[in-house]
Amino acid sequence: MAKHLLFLVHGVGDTKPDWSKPIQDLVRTLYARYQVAKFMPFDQYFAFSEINYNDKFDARRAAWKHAADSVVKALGVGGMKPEVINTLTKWSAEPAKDDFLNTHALDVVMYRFLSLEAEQVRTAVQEQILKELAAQPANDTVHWSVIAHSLGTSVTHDVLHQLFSPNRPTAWGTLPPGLFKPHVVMMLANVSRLLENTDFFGPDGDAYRSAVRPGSTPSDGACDYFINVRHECDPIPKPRLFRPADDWPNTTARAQGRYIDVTINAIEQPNVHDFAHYLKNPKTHVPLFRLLTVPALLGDDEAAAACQAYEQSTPLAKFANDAKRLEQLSLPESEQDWRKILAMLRDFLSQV
Amino acid sequence: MRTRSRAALLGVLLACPGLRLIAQQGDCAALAASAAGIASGASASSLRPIDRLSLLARTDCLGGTRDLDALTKAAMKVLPARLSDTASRAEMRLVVLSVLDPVLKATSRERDARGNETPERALLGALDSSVTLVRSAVEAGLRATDDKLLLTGTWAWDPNTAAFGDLPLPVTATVNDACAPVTTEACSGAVRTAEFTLRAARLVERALAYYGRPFLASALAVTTKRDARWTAYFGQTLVQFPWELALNSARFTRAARATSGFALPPSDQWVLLHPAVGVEYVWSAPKGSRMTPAVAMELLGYNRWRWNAGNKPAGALGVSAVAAFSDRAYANNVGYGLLVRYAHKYSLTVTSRGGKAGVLLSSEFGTWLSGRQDQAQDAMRLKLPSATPR
Repeated sequence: MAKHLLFLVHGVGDTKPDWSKPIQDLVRTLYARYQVAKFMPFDQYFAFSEINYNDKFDARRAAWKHAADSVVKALGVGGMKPEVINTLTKWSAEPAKDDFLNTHALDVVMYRFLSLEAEQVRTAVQEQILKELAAQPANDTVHWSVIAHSLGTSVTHDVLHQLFSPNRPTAWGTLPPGLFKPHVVMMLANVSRLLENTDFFGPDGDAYRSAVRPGSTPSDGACDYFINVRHECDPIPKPRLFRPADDWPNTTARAQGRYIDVTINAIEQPNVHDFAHYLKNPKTHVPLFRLLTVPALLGDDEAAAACQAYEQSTPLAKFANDAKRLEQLSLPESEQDWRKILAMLRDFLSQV
Repeated sequence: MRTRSRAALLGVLLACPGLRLIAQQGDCAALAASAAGIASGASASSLRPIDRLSLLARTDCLGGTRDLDALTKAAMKVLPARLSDTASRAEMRLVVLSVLDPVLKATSRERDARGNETPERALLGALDSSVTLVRSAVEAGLRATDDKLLLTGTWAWDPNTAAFGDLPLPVTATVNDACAPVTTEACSGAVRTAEFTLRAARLVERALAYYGRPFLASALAVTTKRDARWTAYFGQTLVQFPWELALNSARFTRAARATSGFALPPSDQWVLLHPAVGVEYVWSAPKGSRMTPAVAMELLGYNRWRWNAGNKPAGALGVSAVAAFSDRAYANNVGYGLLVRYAHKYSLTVTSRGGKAGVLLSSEFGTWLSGRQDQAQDAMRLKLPSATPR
């Protein structure tokens, strides 16, 4: 039996293969708490598929370091110290240093501003998804959804835009939306607007205008349902916040409940940007479980009880200092100055 | 003890394929019963008949892989689980038609079995018309994207909206209207009709999934090729320092914008302020000391290549203006010259230092050349008579 595939897309960080195992365990645990699990046991109907792209950023850093090191070594051997070479090679070796600024913040810069690097990442992610979809039995519909976090939301947005852009020749590797589009796209700490690249994709790369929207008909949009989740205290998705107008993507899709906007504020740990921290909140995972199963199996009473229990376990007063600290880091929604955005990112990551 | 007996029975059921099917069917029946239990008040929540139908649809019990209904078995027996690389469009069309034929026969039969002017007949009539249209479209050889009726999404049942993707079949209204009191005979009839409708639609959806499968295979093939080129672009061409990657990315962005962000990896690159390690080759030095490390900077250069059938860069050639640095007593420390590069790594630079010419090789070229010279000398030595005194 073909299972519904859940692709997990990571954000910035030193992720390695198998990074998603704790997330998978968490989703299983959370799901098992609800009555729906009795009717649709998780592992019988769902399977995870982990997406990896951090190796591309790592490879770039390693290549720069290797190239720089060989030059520095030769400079030492020959007793020559041309300053310009010394300086350039030192810059190139710096990104391989294992600290937050270089390991995490630099990935964001590379993805947004180095289109060659970004396109390799997108192609690799696209291939991982297509390979998994193509491996499903040909005599059944392929059901799949995506849960993306942080930088992964931008990567996912761009990949889905490339896969499902209308009127593109299939020679580019595009897919017909009404045949293969994902059921649910869940964006946690969505930075797709912050990192949108209209220079590269043209005007359609705009996160509000792109193909990545829930469609009211099968041939429209790049997903059936779009869940956008933001933590009020998370400063990272705040600049150029993804906050579409009430008629996005259109009034029909909105009336059908195909766009679900979730704002959470419970704090369980100082790192409110954390993937798992987002998922643990019932306000985040209940809409997902409902859409993946049958909404009536996870009723309002059960959802409300789960929310109440979670909020009781995370009293806001206990984390007042964290909330205050995070508030100080926050930038305005209209912020577009990349120096300030990177400084915020560095400060946040160095604190958690 | 009782638990152990159940486990043993389940083990037997799972071990035997035939019995496994019965177990699966039993699962569906048990699922329907337990869902009905919720509806009858066994749980705090209340599951309406339409939601119970959605549950059966979601759990593959209506036209899915766990459904052992005769129609499902008849329709699915010819649909292969793997897409053959050699299957032609005509062959695929025949396979899909042999799924649709029993479905169409069943929808016509069910429609005719209902009384005139009933909502159930109207529902089944609309279903029969839609299946007829799909069959005609497939028979006519239309591609999976040529008509919205050929999209799987059109036939997919969505429990959230309690409707098909884009099929105007009033399943929910028919069931809800008949099931105002859930226990009536009319409700049972409407539920049976809805079950049949969901089953038939799912079978069409599965047939169309197979019909559209070549799009997926094609997208994967194209993407795999592109991914191989990107891997080669970063792994087999000249390493780009951050500022070079920024420069070449700016060019790539400009080119990609013209195609709204669809672009293959470039087949050229600019080189800018590129520090490089090389060797200065001294032919007259003793073996083992012919090469001395040297440092150069490619001030500005350009490399280009073509992509071969294996998605590797081939025939790469490049040229750069170079400043070379060395620690020499008899000439200027800095020389300027021209570098010629082959295959991204073999480069030869001719420099001038205050009128004195120099030759700088990339380390790969130097190593290769040194190996050739040693081979030649070894070969010469073999030809000479042994000079070792006895």
